[in-house]
Amino acid sequence: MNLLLIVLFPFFGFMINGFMQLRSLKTGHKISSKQSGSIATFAMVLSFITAIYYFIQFSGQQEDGRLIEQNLFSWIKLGAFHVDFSLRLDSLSLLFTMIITGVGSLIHLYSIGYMKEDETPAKYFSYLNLFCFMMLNLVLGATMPHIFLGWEGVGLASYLLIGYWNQDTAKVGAGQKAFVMNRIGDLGFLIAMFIAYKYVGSLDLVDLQKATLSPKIASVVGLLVFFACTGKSAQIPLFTWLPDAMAGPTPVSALIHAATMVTSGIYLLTRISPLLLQAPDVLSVIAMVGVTTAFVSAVIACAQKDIKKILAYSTVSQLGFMFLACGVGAFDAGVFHVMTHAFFKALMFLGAGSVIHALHEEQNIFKMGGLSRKLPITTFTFVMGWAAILGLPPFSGFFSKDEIIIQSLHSQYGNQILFIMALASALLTAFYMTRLLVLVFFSPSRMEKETEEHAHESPLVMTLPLIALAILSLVGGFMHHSEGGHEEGQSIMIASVVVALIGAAFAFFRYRKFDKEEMTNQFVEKGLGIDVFYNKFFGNGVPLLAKGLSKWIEEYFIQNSMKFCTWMVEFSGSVLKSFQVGSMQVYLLMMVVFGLAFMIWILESVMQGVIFYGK
Amino acid sequence: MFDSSTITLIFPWIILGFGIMATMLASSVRIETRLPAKLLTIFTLVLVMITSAKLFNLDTTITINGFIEVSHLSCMTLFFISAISLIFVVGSGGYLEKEKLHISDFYNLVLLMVLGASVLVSAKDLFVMFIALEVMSLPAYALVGFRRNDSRSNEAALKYFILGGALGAVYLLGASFIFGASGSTQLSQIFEWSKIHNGDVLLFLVGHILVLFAFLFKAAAAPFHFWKPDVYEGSPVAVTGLMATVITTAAFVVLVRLFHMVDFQSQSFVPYLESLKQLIRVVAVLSLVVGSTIMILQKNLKRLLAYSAINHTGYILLGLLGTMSKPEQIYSVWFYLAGYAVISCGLFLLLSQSETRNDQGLELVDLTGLMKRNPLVTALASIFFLSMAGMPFTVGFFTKYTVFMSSIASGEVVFVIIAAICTVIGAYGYLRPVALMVMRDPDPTAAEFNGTKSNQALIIMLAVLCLVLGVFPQALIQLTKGMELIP
Repeated sequence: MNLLLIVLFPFFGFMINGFMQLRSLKTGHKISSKQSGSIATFAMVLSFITAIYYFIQFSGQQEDGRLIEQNLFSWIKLGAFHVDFSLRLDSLSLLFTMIITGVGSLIHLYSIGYMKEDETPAKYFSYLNLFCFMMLNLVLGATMPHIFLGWEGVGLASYLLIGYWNQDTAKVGAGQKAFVMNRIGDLGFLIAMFIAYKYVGSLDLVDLQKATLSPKIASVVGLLVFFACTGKSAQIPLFTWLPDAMAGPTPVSALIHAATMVTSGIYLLTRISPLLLQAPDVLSVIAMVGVTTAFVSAVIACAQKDIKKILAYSTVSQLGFMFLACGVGAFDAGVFHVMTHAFFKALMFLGAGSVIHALHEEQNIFKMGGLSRKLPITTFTFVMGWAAILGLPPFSGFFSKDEIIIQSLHSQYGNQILFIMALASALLTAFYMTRLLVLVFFSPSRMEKETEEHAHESPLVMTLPLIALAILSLVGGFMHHSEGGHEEGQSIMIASVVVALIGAAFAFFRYRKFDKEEMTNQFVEKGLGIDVFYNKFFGNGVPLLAKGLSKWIEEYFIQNSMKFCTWMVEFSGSVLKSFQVGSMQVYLLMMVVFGLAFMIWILESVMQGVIFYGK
Repeated sequence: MFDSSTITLIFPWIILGFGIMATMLASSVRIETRLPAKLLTIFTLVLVMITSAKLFNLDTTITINGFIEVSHLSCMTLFFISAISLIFVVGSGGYLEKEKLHISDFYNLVLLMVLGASVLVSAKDLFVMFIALEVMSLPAYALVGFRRNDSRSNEAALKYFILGGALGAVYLLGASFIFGASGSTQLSQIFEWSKIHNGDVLLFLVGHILVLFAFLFKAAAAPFHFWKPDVYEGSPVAVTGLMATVITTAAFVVLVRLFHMVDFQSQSFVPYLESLKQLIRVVAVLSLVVGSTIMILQKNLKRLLAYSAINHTGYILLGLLGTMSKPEQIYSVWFYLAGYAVISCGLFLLLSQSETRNDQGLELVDLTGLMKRNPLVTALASIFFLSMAGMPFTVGFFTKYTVFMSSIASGEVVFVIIAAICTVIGAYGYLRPVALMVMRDPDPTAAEFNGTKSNQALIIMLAVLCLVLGVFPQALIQLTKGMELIP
């Protein structure tokens, strides 16, 4: 078995589908989603099987034996600077690999049904495979530059897939927004990498983990890395791209913008956790930002009408929980929540996709209702996801979320404020998820007659992944051995379940009989004006600054100084040229004059030098 | 005095001598019969190349009676000079035909010049140097005035001759001063003398500076550069090319030898080293500034290239400056000379293909819009011009780079900065013809470029060499690193 296989299968899938797409462009021969989708899915399944092989191999070993390293080639070699292209598999990256390939396989499978009507499925599946290839590079890379390669690669794939329906300019714009926001974060990654290299002398992750830095440097590196993570994982202040990213096909939202790519921030923070633990201030910043994001986006989610936007804000909110976990030093709990969240959020996105599919691209939850009879499997599985995100026992979310809430109070970095805000976010989460569930599946139908008649359950290829993910959402929590169970832990657990039930009950009774569109607060629905502010401030401010610079610096300063330089050169040239009179006598005379001058000057200076040297 | 091994060592010169006599005979039989003369010249030069290449693997330096040195340095230079001359001899037949200059005397004079240059690069004695200098210069004067019916050509030849003669006298004066001070004309003995000499050095210094002036004149370093634009403009293009390559190379080899004539470790000469460096700095900066700033004002292409040559002299002097305290850096000078010769060789051969409408010689405007009419010539000319400017991926970049690095290693950072600024100014001068060729519409009065196939192939090879050396300069640098200077 070769570690490279995990990475290579999706790459081959990408190449095959890509070539098929190129050929079909030339020949005009259409490729069905079944053809290209099965290739892509097969590639992912093979990759998943490889991952399972390593999982089995690892489970038979002690904790410190769970490490496989494979050096492929020397990547960058510049003097003393040296980076190998090598893959490294340990428990953490194995968990991420399993999520990416496992959930990824299911979503690839689901896409076959979802993209049936699409014109260019080969393109779609090649992008999807490219994404998985890059994501696997991100989690398996042994050095910072390798992670950065994956980090940029997933950003590219995400950009391509958000703007996949590129006939719609709004969708293309959403893709660009995602890309630009991510690039802002990448700046932090790059600078962090440079500083880390300066002070650690290596970019290998193992060396970074072992390094002891001064608190100041550790803080700077930690903060910059965290800034990069706020871009990729959609945290304040760079979270506004994720709701817009819902413009892409729904399976893409499930895979990239819920299960995998957006959690790469957690992965990165966990990777450099020894560094972060040297800088407690950064940890508290991470915790504060995380819990604030969780709360704010939960508030915004309560006012959304678009089913996918609700899930998007919910994702942001859940990511906030994970960052909270990292911020209180409970990296394990954060990673655990990554896994359970991958299951239930992918499940809910795919369920939403199934609903949207059934209703012919209708996404407004106030134009749905009573779908439980039409879409029984979707409904049933969605309820499982709902229970998981609420944290009802024994669903997976219960274990992971409560672990985070407990840690936010009881960890050495935790405090009451974090705890209360986390609980409040959990309350809001229960409210908006129940609102979504009730309005879509259980309240009286608000659909148009025609749409209602055409609504039908999705084909097996789409419901199968739903069922699989539902099972995972149910049992996923038992994969982790929580050390909780002490007295306060139990009372907090009970408290959080009660809070969730209160929120759920409130939403249930409010929306049970809803038959009209809700008048939501526009300000909240538009994302608390943050987007507007960014547009006004940066969108207008930067061009203004550029204009000012071009006028004052470019036109007045640079152009005029350049003019002066050229004038100088021409002037000195013409002065020197005037010696070139063409008359030989003048030439001779000048040579004699210059020669004599040189001669006298040199002899003079030598004589002085001789005196100076004491002769 | 002469044993058989010595004969082997001076074989290249013997062959050259026979070649000269043979071509002389050929031209005395019938001056219009040029084919035998041309073939004889090619044959001679090839033989010289082979024999000098045979001598490469000499491990030691052999000095024949203290007059002539046979070393890695001299053999490499000899090989190089004969190779460049061979390219010119092969490539300029069409040009001579066109200008109605194609007589066998041309080849005879070229061979004489090569003989002078080749003795010059090996000379270890001040008077051998003088004789070689004259043997090299006299045919050059004649070649400059080769267009007998052109008054500018005659004027150029006369100027070159008189100024050259005057500076020859300066050289002789300086040499006699040196002889008076040190009691010898042989460089090795003067070096030994400087080691042990303890006392007044004034007489020697005057002589040394005068000798240096003479060769700074040959290398056209400002302020001894005045002859260069006028001579370049007046002489036939093929001759200009030979001067830019063969004479420049030979002059610099001698210049380097003359600069390192004394042992600067010696107590008497320590203060002199600083002053000498100061002289090189001033001359280098003057050459750089004069060359680059006047170059961008030129309208005539050959005058432009003359100022460009003065500019290049500045760079080479900068490299020489680096060697004054670190003699092992001398390879940067050889590398620069080799690279510059390759570029000039290609460019002058290319220009010799031009046919202007009027008699004023090739002006810049004659290149207008050449891209549309003759893309191949445009591409080749662009490669050579960009090479001269020191664009990366051409050999010109690495020649400048090594020279800069060697002077930075000697701590001459300020002068490297000045040189870099002059490079920028110079780049404008070189980009102007390129822009004219590429960015303008064709002009019906512009020059035509007609060359034979073999000639084109030769130029293409030189252009490719420029590019290859611009990516893999290491091979040539390694060769030049072996060319050590032995006192």
